[in-house]
Amino acid sequence: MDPSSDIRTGLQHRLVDTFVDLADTLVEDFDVVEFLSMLSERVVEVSIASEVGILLADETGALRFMASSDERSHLLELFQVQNREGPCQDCFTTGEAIAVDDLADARHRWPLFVDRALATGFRSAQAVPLRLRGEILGAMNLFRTEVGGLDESDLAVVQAMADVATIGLLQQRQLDRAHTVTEQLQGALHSRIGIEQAKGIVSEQAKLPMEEAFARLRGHARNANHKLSDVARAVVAGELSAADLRA
Amino acid sequence: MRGDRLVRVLDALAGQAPAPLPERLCAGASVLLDARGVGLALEIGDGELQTVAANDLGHRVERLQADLGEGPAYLAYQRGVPVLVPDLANDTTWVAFGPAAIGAGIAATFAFPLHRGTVRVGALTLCRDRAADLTDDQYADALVIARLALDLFLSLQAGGAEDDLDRLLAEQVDDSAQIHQASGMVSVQLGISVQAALAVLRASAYAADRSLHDVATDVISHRLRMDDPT
Repeated sequence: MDPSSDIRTGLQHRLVDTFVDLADTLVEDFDVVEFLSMLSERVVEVSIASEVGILLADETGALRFMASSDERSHLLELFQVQNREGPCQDCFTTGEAIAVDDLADARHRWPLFVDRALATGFRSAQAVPLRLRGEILGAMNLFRTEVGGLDESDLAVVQAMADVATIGLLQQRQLDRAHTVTEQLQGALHSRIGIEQAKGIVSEQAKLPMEEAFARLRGHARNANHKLSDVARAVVAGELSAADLRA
Repeated sequence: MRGDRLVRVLDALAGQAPAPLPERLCAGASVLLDARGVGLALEIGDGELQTVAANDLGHRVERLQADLGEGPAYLAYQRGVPVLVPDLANDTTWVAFGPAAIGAGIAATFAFPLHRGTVRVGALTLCRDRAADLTDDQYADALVIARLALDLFLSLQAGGAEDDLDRLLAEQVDDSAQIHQASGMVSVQLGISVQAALAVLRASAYAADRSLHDVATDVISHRLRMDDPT
Protein backbone atom coordinates (compact mmCIF):
# COMPACT_ATOMS: atom_id res chain seq x y z
CA MET A 1 0.00 0.00 0.00
CA ASP A 2 1.33 3.44 -0.76
CA PRO A 3 2.07 5.64 2.25
CA SER A 4 -0.49 8.29 1.38
CA SER A 5 -3.35 5.83 1.85
CA ASP A 6 -1.94 5.01 5.31
CA ILE A 7 -2.14 8.70 6.13
CA ARG A 8 -5.72 8.76 4.87
CA THR A 9 -6.70 5.80 7.02
CA GLY A 10 -5.03 7.35 10.06
CA LEU A 11 -6.93 10.55 9.42
CA GLN A 12 -10.22 8.70 9.10
CA HIS A 13 -9.63 7.03 12.46
CA ARG A 14 -8.92 10.37 14.09
CA LEU A 15 -12.01 11.79 12.45
CA VAL A 16 -14.20 9.01 13.81
CA ASP A 17 -12.66 9.46 17.28
CA THR A 18 -13.33 13.17 17.08
CA PHE A 19 -16.99 12.75 16.20
CA VAL A 20 -17.45 10.19 18.98
CA ASP A 21 -15.86 12.62 21.47
CA LEU A 22 -17.98 15.52 20.32
CA ALA A 23 -21.15 13.45 20.42
CA ASP A 24 -20.27 12.40 23.98
CA THR A 25 -19.93 16.02 25.03
CA LEU A 26 -23.22 16.97 23.41
CA VAL A 27 -25.30 14.64 25.57
CA GLU A 28 -24.01 16.26 28.75
CA ASP A 29 -24.67 19.68 30.24
CA PHE A 30 -21.77 21.39 28.52
CA ASP A 31 -20.34 24.89 28.25
CA VAL A 32 -20.82 26.28 24.76
CA VAL A 33 -17.56 28.28 24.54
CA GLU A 34 -15.55 25.36 25.91
CA PHE A 35 -17.24 23.08 23.38
CA LEU A 36 -16.50 25.38 20.44
CA SER A 37 -12.89 25.85 21.58
CA MET A 38 -12.44 22.09 21.73
CA LEU A 39 -14.10 21.69 18.35
CA SER A 40 -11.75 24.29 16.83
CA GLU A 41 -8.74 22.43 18.21
CA ARG A 42 -10.06 19.20 16.72
CA VAL A 43 -10.53 20.77 13.29
CA VAL A 44 -6.83 21.69 13.35
CA GLU A 45 -6.02 18.06 14.15
CA VAL A 46 -8.12 16.51 11.39
CA SER A 47 -7.56 19.06 8.63
CA ILE A 48 -4.65 20.91 7.09
CA ALA A 49 -5.61 24.11 8.93
CA SER A 50 -3.03 25.80 11.17
CA GLU A 51 -5.64 27.71 13.19
CA VAL A 52 -9.42 27.66 13.31
CA GLY A 53 -11.98 30.08 14.70
CA ILE A 54 -15.76 30.29 14.98
CA LEU A 55 -17.78 33.48 14.50
CA LEU A 56 -21.43 34.01 15.29
CA ALA A 57 -23.77 36.81 14.16
CA ASP A 58 -25.21 38.93 16.97
CA GLU A 59 -28.68 40.48 17.11
CA THR A 60 -27.61 43.38 14.90
CA GLY A 61 -26.08 41.11 12.25
CA ALA A 62 -22.46 41.79 13.21
CA LEU A 63 -20.10 38.79 13.39
CA ARG A 64 -18.66 38.13 16.84
CA PHE A 65 -15.73 35.96 17.85
CA MET A 66 -16.88 32.88 19.78
CA ALA A 67 -13.94 30.48 20.03
CA SER A 68 -10.70 29.42 18.36
CA SER A 69 -7.97 26.79 18.42
CA ASP A 70 -5.65 29.37 20.00
CA GLU A 71 -6.55 32.48 21.98
CA ARG A 72 -3.55 34.64 21.08
CA SER A 73 -4.66 38.26 20.82
CA HIS A 74 -3.52 38.92 17.25
CA LEU A 75 -5.43 35.85 16.10
CA LEU A 76 -8.51 37.04 17.92
CA GLU A 77 -8.25 40.39 16.18
CA LEU A 78 -7.97 38.64 12.84
CA PHE A 79 -11.27 36.90 13.43
CA GLN A 80 -12.87 40.03 14.73
CA VAL A 81 -11.85 42.38 11.93
CA GLN A 82 -14.12 40.23 9.77
CA ASN A 83 -17.20 41.93 11.13
CA ARG A 84 -16.10 44.52 8.59
CA GLU A 85 -14.38 42.58 5.80
CA GLY A 86 -12.89 39.18 5.06
CA PRO A 87 -13.82 35.65 4.01
CA CYS A 88 -16.11 35.10 7.03
CA GLN A 89 -18.07 38.27 6.29
CA ASP A 90 -18.50 37.19 2.65
CA CYS A 91 -19.37 33.64 3.69
CA PHE A 92 -21.98 34.97 6.12
CA THR A 93 -23.46 37.31 3.51
CA THR A 94 -23.59 34.80 0.65
CA GLY A 95 -24.06 31.56 2.59
CA GLU A 96 -21.35 29.97 0.44
CA ALA A 97 -17.99 28.53 1.47
CA ILE A 98 -15.17 30.95 0.60
CA ALA A 99 -11.67 29.77 -0.29
CA VAL A 100 -8.64 32.04 -0.56
CA ASP A 101 -5.79 29.85 -1.79
CA ASP A 102 -3.30 32.71 -1.74
CA LEU A 103 -4.02 35.63 0.53
CA ALA A 104 -1.52 37.82 -1.30
CA ASP A 105 -3.88 37.81 -4.31
CA ALA A 106 -6.82 39.05 -2.23
CA ARG A 107 -5.38 42.38 -1.06
CA HIS A 108 -7.65 44.44 -3.29
CA ARG A 109 -10.68 42.55 -1.98
CA TRP A 110 -10.03 42.87 1.76
CA PRO A 111 -7.05 45.20 2.32
CA LEU A 112 -7.44 45.43 6.10
CA PHE A 113 -7.97 41.72 6.65
CA VAL A 114 -5.29 40.50 4.25
CA ASP A 115 -2.55 42.72 5.66
CA ARG A 116 -3.28 41.49 9.16
CA ALA A 117 -3.49 37.85 8.10
CA LEU A 118 -0.16 38.03 6.25
CA ALA A 119 1.47 39.85 9.17
CA THR A 120 0.27 37.05 11.46
CA GLY A 121 2.03 34.53 9.22
CA PHE A 122 -0.88 33.08 7.28
CA ARG A 123 -0.85 32.46 3.53
CA SER A 124 -4.31 31.03 2.83
CA ALA A 125 -7.77 31.01 4.40
CA GLN A 126 -11.16 29.33 4.16
CA ALA A 127 -14.58 30.10 5.57
CA VAL A 128 -17.54 27.71 5.74
CA PRO A 129 -21.03 28.70 6.89
CA LEU A 130 -22.79 27.65 10.10
CA ARG A 131 -26.20 26.81 8.68
CA LEU A 132 -29.60 26.06 10.13
CA ARG A 133 -32.49 25.37 7.75
CA GLY A 134 -31.26 27.81 5.16
CA GLU A 135 -30.40 30.53 7.64
CA ILE A 136 -26.75 31.45 8.15
CA LEU A 137 -25.83 31.82 11.82
CA GLY A 138 -22.12 32.53 11.43
CA ALA A 139 -18.98 30.99 9.97
CA MET A 140 -16.06 28.72 10.71
CA ASN A 141 -12.74 30.19 9.61
CA LEU A 142 -9.59 28.22 8.76
CA PHE A 143 -6.11 29.67 8.34
CA ARG A 144 -3.01 27.99 6.91
CA THR A 145 0.61 29.06 7.02
CA GLU A 146 1.01 27.80 3.45
CA VAL A 147 -0.68 28.69 0.18
CA GLY A 148 -3.20 26.23 -1.25
CA GLY A 149 -6.76 25.19 -0.56
CA LEU A 150 -8.82 22.31 0.72
CA ASP A 151 -9.70 19.49 -1.66
CA GLU A 152 -13.28 18.29 -1.88
CA SER A 153 -13.05 15.65 0.82
CA ASP A 154 -11.31 18.09 3.21
CA LEU A 155 -14.06 20.59 2.56
CA ALA A 156 -16.72 17.97 3.32
CA VAL A 157 -15.02 17.19 6.65
CA VAL A 158 -14.75 20.86 7.57
CA GLN A 159 -18.38 21.53 6.64
CA ALA A 160 -19.39 18.55 8.81
CA MET A 161 -17.43 20.05 11.71
CA ALA A 162 -19.15 23.40 11.12
CA ASP A 163 -22.50 21.58 11.29
CA VAL A 164 -21.44 20.06 14.61
CA ALA A 165 -20.64 23.59 15.83
CA THR A 166 -24.20 24.62 14.91
CA ILE A 167 -25.61 21.66 16.82
CA GLY A 168 -23.50 22.65 19.81
CA LEU A 169 -24.77 26.21 19.67
CA LEU A 170 -28.37 25.01 19.69
CA GLN A 171 -28.42 22.88 22.77
CA GLN A 172 -32.15 22.59 23.18
CA ARG A 173 -34.05 19.96 21.33
CA GLN A 174 -37.10 22.11 20.86
CA LEU A 175 -36.20 24.30 17.93
CA ASP A 176 -39.58 24.66 16.32
CA ARG A 177 -39.60 28.41 16.82
CA ALA A 178 -37.07 30.93 15.63
CA HIS A 179 -37.45 32.50 19.11
CA THR A 180 -35.79 29.54 20.72
CA VAL A 181 -32.91 29.51 18.25
CA THR A 182 -32.33 33.24 18.70
CA GLU A 183 -32.43 32.89 22.48
CA GLN A 184 -29.80 30.15 22.45
CA LEU A 185 -27.50 32.09 20.15
CA GLN A 186 -27.91 35.12 22.42
CA GLY A 187 -26.94 32.96 25.38
CA ALA A 188 -23.78 31.84 23.60
CA LEU A 189 -22.84 35.43 22.66
CA HIS A 190 -23.35 36.72 26.19
CA SER A 191 -21.39 33.79 27.56
CA ARG A 192 -18.42 34.78 25.39
CA ILE A 193 -18.67 38.45 26.42
CA GLY A 194 -18.67 37.40 30.08
CA ILE A 195 -15.50 35.41 29.45
CA GLU A 196 -13.83 38.45 27.85
CA GLN A 197 -14.76 40.55 30.91
CA ALA A 198 -13.32 37.88 33.22
CA LYS A 199 -10.15 37.64 31.10
CA GLY A 200 -9.60 41.37 31.62
CA ILE A 201 -10.01 41.01 35.39
CA VAL A 202 -7.67 38.02 35.71
CA SER A 203 -5.13 39.60 33.39
CA GLU A 204 -5.02 42.77 35.52
CA GLN A 205 -5.06 40.96 38.88
CA ALA A 206 -2.30 38.49 38.01
CA LYS A 207 -0.39 40.65 35.49
CA LEU A 208 -0.89 38.07 32.73
CA PRO A 209 -1.35 38.37 28.97
CA MET A 210 -4.98 37.85 27.84
CA GLU A 211 -4.36 34.39 26.39
CA GLU A 212 -2.81 33.28 29.70
CA ALA A 213 -5.79 34.68 31.58
CA PHE A 214 -8.06 32.62 29.34
CA ALA A 215 -5.96 29.50 29.95
CA ARG A 216 -6.26 30.03 33.73
CA LEU A 217 -10.02 30.40 33.53
CA ARG A 218 -10.36 27.36 31.32
CA GLY A 219 -7.97 25.28 33.42
CA HIS A 220 -9.84 26.13 36.59
CA ALA A 221 -13.19 25.28 35.00
CA ARG A 222 -11.85 21.88 33.94
CA ASN A 223 -10.16 21.06 37.24
CA ALA A 224 -13.07 22.15 39.37
CA ASN A 225 -15.55 20.58 36.92
CA HIS A 226 -17.43 23.85 36.50
CA LYS A 227 -18.69 25.47 33.34
CA LEU A 228 -16.32 28.05 31.90
CA SER A 229 -19.15 30.62 31.78
CA ASP A 230 -19.92 30.01 35.49
CA VAL A 231 -16.27 30.53 36.42
CA ALA A 232 -16.26 33.76 34.38
CA ARG A 233 -19.44 34.94 36.11
CA ALA A 234 -17.91 34.23 39.55
CA VAL A 235 -14.80 36.20 38.62
CA VAL A 236 -16.83 39.19 37.43
CA ALA A 237 -18.97 39.01 40.59
CA GLY A 238 -15.80 39.09 42.72
CA GLU A 239 -16.48 35.62 44.18
CA LEU A 240 -13.29 34.28 42.59
CA SER A 241 -10.02 36.11 42.03
CA ALA A 242 -7.01 35.21 39.88
CA ALA A 243 -5.28 33.81 42.98
CA ASP A 244 -8.14 31.32 43.51
CA LEU A 245 -7.88 29.81 40.05
CA ARG A 246 -6.44 26.32 40.06
CA ALA A 247 -4.10 25.96 37.12
CA MET B 1 -30.31 39.35 6.04
CA ARG B 2 -29.85 40.31 9.64
CA GLY B 3 -27.97 43.55 8.94
CA ASP B 4 -31.17 44.82 7.32
CA ARG B 5 -32.92 44.44 10.65
CA LEU B 6 -30.64 46.95 12.32
CA VAL B 7 -31.18 49.41 9.47
CA ARG B 8 -34.95 48.96 9.67
CA VAL B 9 -34.99 49.52 13.43
CA LEU B 10 -32.78 52.59 13.14
CA ASP B 11 -35.01 53.99 10.39
CA ALA B 12 -38.04 53.56 12.62
CA LEU B 13 -36.29 55.42 15.46
CA ALA B 14 -35.08 58.19 13.20
CA GLY B 15 -38.67 58.62 11.95
CA GLN B 16 -40.05 59.42 15.43
CA ALA B 17 -40.84 62.97 16.48
CA PRO B 18 -37.86 64.80 18.00
CA ALA B 19 -37.62 63.99 21.71
CA PRO B 20 -34.94 62.72 24.08
CA LEU B 21 -33.63 59.39 22.83
CA PRO B 22 -35.21 57.20 25.54
CA GLU B 23 -38.66 58.57 24.57
CA ARG B 24 -37.96 58.03 20.89
CA LEU B 25 -36.87 54.50 21.62
CA CYS B 26 -40.20 53.81 23.34
CA ALA B 27 -42.20 55.41 20.52
CA GLY B 28 -40.26 53.51 17.86
CA ALA B 29 -40.64 50.24 19.75
CA SER B 30 -44.40 50.76 19.96
CA VAL B 31 -44.69 51.04 16.20
CA LEU B 32 -42.25 48.27 15.28
CA LEU B 33 -43.42 45.76 17.83
CA ASP B 34 -47.15 46.47 17.73
CA ALA B 35 -47.09 47.29 21.44
CA ARG B 36 -49.56 49.75 22.97
CA GLY B 37 -47.15 50.42 25.76
CA VAL B 38 -43.39 50.41 26.15
CA GLY B 39 -41.32 51.12 29.23
CA LEU B 40 -37.61 51.38 29.91
CA ALA B 41 -36.28 50.88 33.43
CA LEU B 42 -32.80 51.00 34.93
CA GLU B 43 -31.44 49.20 37.95
CA ILE B 44 -30.69 51.74 40.67
CA GLY B 45 -29.16 49.46 43.33
CA ASP B 46 -30.16 46.30 45.20
CA GLY B 47 -31.95 45.01 42.14
CA GLU B 48 -34.53 47.80 42.20
CA LEU B 49 -35.71 49.09 38.83
CA GLN B 50 -36.62 52.70 38.12
CA THR B 51 -38.54 53.86 35.04
CA VAL B 52 -36.62 56.16 32.71
CA ALA B 53 -39.08 56.48 29.86
CA ALA B 54 -42.49 55.10 28.91
CA ASN B 55 -45.41 55.75 26.58
CA ASP B 56 -49.18 55.05 26.58
CA LEU B 57 -49.94 51.78 28.44
CA GLY B 58 -46.24 51.59 29.26
CA HIS B 59 -46.76 54.19 32.02
CA ARG B 60 -49.22 51.86 33.72
CA VAL B 61 -47.13 48.71 33.42
CA GLU B 62 -44.07 50.53 34.72
CA ARG B 63 -46.03 52.02 37.61
CA LEU B 64 -47.40 48.62 38.61
CA GLN B 65 -43.96 47.03 38.53
CA ALA B 66 -42.50 49.85 40.62
CA ASP B 67 -45.32 49.69 43.19
CA LEU B 68 -45.37 45.90 43.49
CA GLY B 69 -41.66 45.21 43.06
CA GLU B 70 -42.46 42.38 40.66
CA GLY B 71 -43.32 41.87 37.02
CA PRO B 72 -41.76 40.94 33.69
CA ALA B 73 -39.01 43.60 33.83
CA TYR B 74 -37.81 42.32 37.22
CA LEU B 75 -37.83 38.73 36.02
CA ALA B 76 -36.00 39.55 32.76
CA TYR B 77 -33.46 41.62 34.66
CA GLN B 78 -32.86 38.91 37.29
CA ARG B 79 -32.64 35.99 34.87
CA GLY B 80 -30.90 37.74 32.00
CA VAL B 81 -33.31 36.24 29.45
CA PRO B 82 -36.49 37.53 27.76
CA VAL B 83 -39.79 36.95 29.57
CA LEU B 84 -42.76 36.31 27.30
CA VAL B 85 -46.36 36.37 28.53
CA PRO B 86 -48.60 36.43 25.43
CA ASP B 87 -51.76 35.83 27.46
CA LEU B 88 -51.70 37.35 30.91
CA ALA B 89 -55.17 35.99 31.76
CA ASN B 90 -53.81 32.45 31.59
CA ASP B 91 -50.60 33.10 33.46
CA THR B 92 -49.82 32.52 37.13
CA THR B 93 -46.26 33.87 37.33
CA TRP B 94 -47.14 36.89 39.51
CA VAL B 95 -49.66 36.83 42.33
CA ALA B 96 -49.99 40.61 42.51
CA PHE B 97 -48.77 41.96 39.19
CA GLY B 98 -50.87 39.63 36.99
CA PRO B 99 -54.37 40.60 38.22
CA ALA B 100 -53.36 44.25 38.64
CA ALA B 101 -52.08 44.44 35.05
CA ILE B 102 -55.26 42.85 33.70
CA GLY B 103 -57.23 45.39 35.69
CA ALA B 104 -55.19 48.12 34.00
CA GLY B 105 -56.15 46.84 30.55
CA ILE B 106 -52.99 44.89 29.79
CA ALA B 107 -53.55 41.53 28.10
CA ALA B 108 -50.01 40.54 27.06
CA THR B 109 -46.57 41.60 28.24
CA PHE B 110 -42.97 40.92 27.27
CA ALA B 111 -39.71 42.04 28.82
CA PHE B 112 -36.15 41.99 27.53
CA PRO B 113 -33.04 42.47 29.70
CA LEU B 114 -30.61 45.27 28.86
CA HIS B 115 -27.34 43.41 29.25
CA ARG B 116 -23.94 42.57 27.80
CA GLY B 117 -22.26 39.44 29.12
CA THR B 118 -22.38 39.73 32.89
CA VAL B 119 -23.23 43.45 32.82
CA ARG B 120 -26.93 44.06 33.52
CA VAL B 121 -28.37 47.53 33.37
CA GLY B 122 -32.16 47.29 33.28
CA ALA B 123 -35.07 46.03 31.20
CA LEU B 124 -37.36 46.91 28.31
CA THR B 125 -41.05 46.11 28.92
CA LEU B 126 -43.67 45.84 26.18
CA CYS B 127 -47.41 45.43 26.62
CA ARG B 128 -50.48 44.87 24.49
CA ASP B 129 -54.15 45.43 25.15
CA ARG B 130 -55.01 42.08 23.52
CA ALA B 131 -53.53 38.63 24.02
CA ALA B 132 -51.04 37.81 21.23
CA ASP B 133 -47.55 36.38 20.99
CA LEU B 134 -44.67 38.30 19.44
CA THR B 135 -43.84 37.08 15.96
CA ASP B 136 -40.30 35.81 15.41
CA ASP B 137 -39.57 39.03 13.54
CA GLN B 138 -40.86 41.19 16.38
CA TYR B 139 -38.83 39.15 18.86
CA ALA B 140 -35.66 39.72 16.82
CA ASP B 141 -36.47 43.45 16.48
CA ALA B 142 -37.03 43.66 20.24
CA LEU B 143 -33.53 42.29 20.84
CA VAL B 144 -32.08 45.03 18.63
CA ILE B 145 -34.10 47.69 20.47
CA ALA B 146 -32.96 46.34 23.85
CA ARG B 147 -29.40 46.45 22.59
CA LEU B 148 -29.79 50.07 21.46
CA ALA B 149 -31.37 50.97 24.81
CA LEU B 150 -28.41 49.46 26.64
CA ASP B 151 -25.94 51.40 24.50
CA LEU B 152 -27.97 54.55 25.03
CA PHE B 153 -27.92 54.24 28.83
CA LEU B 154 -24.22 53.43 28.94
CA SER B 155 -23.62 56.44 26.72
CA LEU B 156 -25.76 58.71 28.94
CA GLN B 157 -23.95 57.46 32.04
CA ALA B 158 -20.69 58.39 30.36
CA GLY B 159 -21.88 61.94 29.74
CA GLY B 160 -23.19 61.55 26.19
CA ALA B 161 -25.94 63.87 24.97
CA GLU B 162 -29.56 62.73 25.16
CA ASP B 163 -30.18 63.54 21.53
CA ASP B 164 -26.87 62.56 19.94
CA LEU B 165 -28.21 59.74 17.79
CA ASP B 166 -25.22 59.80 15.42
CA ARG B 167 -22.68 59.31 18.16
CA LEU B 168 -24.74 56.56 19.73
CA LEU B 169 -24.97 54.70 16.45
CA ALA B 170 -21.27 55.04 15.75
CA GLU B 171 -20.36 53.60 19.15
CA GLN B 172 -23.13 51.07 19.05
CA VAL B 173 -21.60 49.13 16.18
CA ASP B 174 -18.48 48.46 18.18
CA ASP B 175 -18.81 45.59 20.61
CA SER B 176 -15.41 44.02 20.25
CA ALA B 177 -13.72 41.61 22.64
CA GLN B 178 -11.14 44.33 23.44
CA ILE B 179 -13.82 46.58 24.93
CA HIS B 180 -14.98 43.84 27.28
CA GLN B 181 -11.42 42.86 28.22
CA ALA B 182 -10.57 46.49 28.94
CA SER B 183 -13.73 46.83 31.09
CA GLY B 184 -12.50 43.92 33.19
CA MET B 185 -9.04 45.46 33.56
CA VAL B 186 -10.36 48.90 34.50
CA SER B 187 -12.73 47.36 37.07
CA VAL B 188 -9.64 46.01 38.88
CA GLN B 189 -7.65 49.24 38.46
CA LEU B 190 -10.42 51.33 40.02
CA GLY B 191 -11.99 48.75 42.30
CA ILE B 192 -15.40 49.19 40.65
CA SER B 193 -17.88 46.91 38.86
CA VAL B 194 -17.33 45.91 35.24
CA GLN B 195 -20.42 47.89 34.34
CA ALA B 196 -19.08 51.05 35.96
CA ALA B 197 -15.72 50.39 34.29
CA LEU B 198 -17.41 50.33 30.90
CA ALA B 199 -18.95 53.73 31.66
CA VAL B 200 -15.51 55.06 32.67
CA LEU B 201 -14.03 53.83 29.39
CA ARG B 202 -16.81 55.50 27.43
CA ALA B 203 -16.43 58.74 29.35
CA SER B 204 -12.71 58.66 28.70
CA ALA B 205 -13.34 58.15 24.98
CA TYR B 206 -15.83 61.04 24.88
CA ALA B 207 -13.48 63.37 26.74
CA ALA B 208 -10.59 62.62 24.38
CA ASP B 209 -12.85 62.51 21.30
CA ARG B 210 -11.57 59.04 20.48
CA SER B 211 -13.37 55.81 19.69
CA LEU B 212 -14.18 53.41 22.50
CA HIS B 213 -12.26 50.73 20.66
CA ASP B 214 -9.06 52.81 20.52
CA VAL B 215 -9.22 53.62 24.21
CA ALA B 216 -9.85 49.94 25.03
CA THR B 217 -6.89 48.88 22.90
CA ASP B 218 -4.63 51.32 24.77
CA VAL B 219 -5.78 49.89 28.09
CA ILE B 220 -5.12 46.29 27.02
CA SER B 221 -1.67 47.11 25.65
CA HIS B 222 -0.79 48.94 28.92
CA ARG B 223 -0.41 52.34 27.25
CA LEU B 224 -3.24 53.71 29.33
CA ARG B 225 -4.31 53.10 32.92
CA MET B 226 -7.47 54.56 34.39
CA ASP B 227 -5.96 54.84 37.87
CA ASP B 228 -3.05 56.86 36.52
CA PRO B 229 -3.42 60.44 37.86
CA THR B 230 -1.54 61.97 34.91
